[in-house]
Amino acid sequence: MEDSATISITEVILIAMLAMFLLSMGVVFFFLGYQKRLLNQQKEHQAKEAEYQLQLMRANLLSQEKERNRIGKDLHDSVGSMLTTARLYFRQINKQATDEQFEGLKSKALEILDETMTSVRRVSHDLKPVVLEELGLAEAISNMVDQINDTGLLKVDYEYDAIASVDKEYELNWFRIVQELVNNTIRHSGAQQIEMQLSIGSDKVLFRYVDDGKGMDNNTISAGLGLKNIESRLQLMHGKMILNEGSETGLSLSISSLVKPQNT
Amino acid sequence: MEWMFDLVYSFATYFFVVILIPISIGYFRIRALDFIQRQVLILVSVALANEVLATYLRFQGINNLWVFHLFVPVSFFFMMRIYREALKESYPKGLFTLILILFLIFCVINSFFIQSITVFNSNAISLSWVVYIIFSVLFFYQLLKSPASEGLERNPMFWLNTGVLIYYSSTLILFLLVNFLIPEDPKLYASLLGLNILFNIINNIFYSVVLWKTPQLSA
Repeated sequence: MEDSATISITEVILIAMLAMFLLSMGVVFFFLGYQKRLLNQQKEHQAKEAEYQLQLMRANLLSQEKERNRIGKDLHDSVGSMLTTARLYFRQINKQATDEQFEGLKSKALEILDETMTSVRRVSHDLKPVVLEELGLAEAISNMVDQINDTGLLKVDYEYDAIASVDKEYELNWFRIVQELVNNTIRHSGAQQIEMQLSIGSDKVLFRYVDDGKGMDNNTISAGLGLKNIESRLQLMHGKMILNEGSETGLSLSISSLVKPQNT
Repeated sequence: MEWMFDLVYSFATYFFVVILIPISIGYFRIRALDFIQRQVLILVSVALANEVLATYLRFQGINNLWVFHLFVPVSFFFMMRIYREALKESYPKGLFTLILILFLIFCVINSFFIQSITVFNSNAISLSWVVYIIFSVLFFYQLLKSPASEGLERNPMFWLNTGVLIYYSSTLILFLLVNFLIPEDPKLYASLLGLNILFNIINNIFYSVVLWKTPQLSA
């Protein structure tokens, strides 16, 4: 009896040791499996992030190309043709022309040159808004708002307060973002009214944009080239955009960024 | 039961051979070792010295259990240094110092008032084993919390931790009950001791891997 009892103790301890051994091995394998899963998830996330960055870069390049085409077309169709016309007028001016003919051709040529200068100024303004350079972001947007309101296409309400100035590079990004939003609203939303609020604090720029158009679902937002551009510009400024803040219809979003790059 | 004694002595012989492997690797690569690997090298060197002394005393017919009363706090000291370094991102260093001090106080009390130096110090061993298992699990948890990185097998601490978890978990029950087993049946004790030596051999293989690996440069 004693012998069998001893054997049973041995068996119990052996089983317990074996169980603990298997348990510890189980912990190690669980850890390895979990680690592998985490690694795969991380890789997937990195791949998605890389794909997203690629999309942003593509949108950026496409936008640049589109802008170049537009400027090229403007120069060719408007400035180019006007200069050609002006050249024709100048060729007609010769020594045999009467005073009346000379005056007529001269005034027409000057008129064409004035129109050419206006066109050049418009192209130049599109490339770098002078008002932005001279008056800053808040006033440049105000100027843009006035121009839109003058067209009577829709009504824009704009409020701002600024206690600091925005970095020049950031300022242009912000201006382009606002332009992009307004263009989207005018072209696609069918909105009648836009509300904009800009607040430039000592370290942060906050912007709120609301229109009463048909709005956009998330798919449209992710696919839209314009909004990709906005995201791309925001990324450069370490900014962020929050969409659809408590709005049932239309587009409603808040955008924020730093006032200037952190390392300067 | 004779075969069990033979098995134990075979394992004991193998153990002496196996423990020489991490020590040889460690001293061969001593210049390339990082802090944790150096602590492991000291730990296995102390373990070898402990085994040699205990074996010598046994052959002399002298009670050798006092050697283990010294070895346990010494090895605990080095293990705390290892885990203090490995877990420094998650826990303050003072915690490890506190645990070390408390454990040393417990060892003194245990050796003087509970299990004298002529008795196997199973209380101190079991307690230290439990602490090692907890820290081992905490290290895995810390790894899971941090961003997963490839090349885990190149991290010496991963191998050390795996060896620690497997060896100390597997032998904990044995050391908890060891003092109850000896009076019952010395032969039974010897056979289970053989199992301990087997797990210890496995642990030393892990130590060898730890000392073989080139430490990763910290970012």
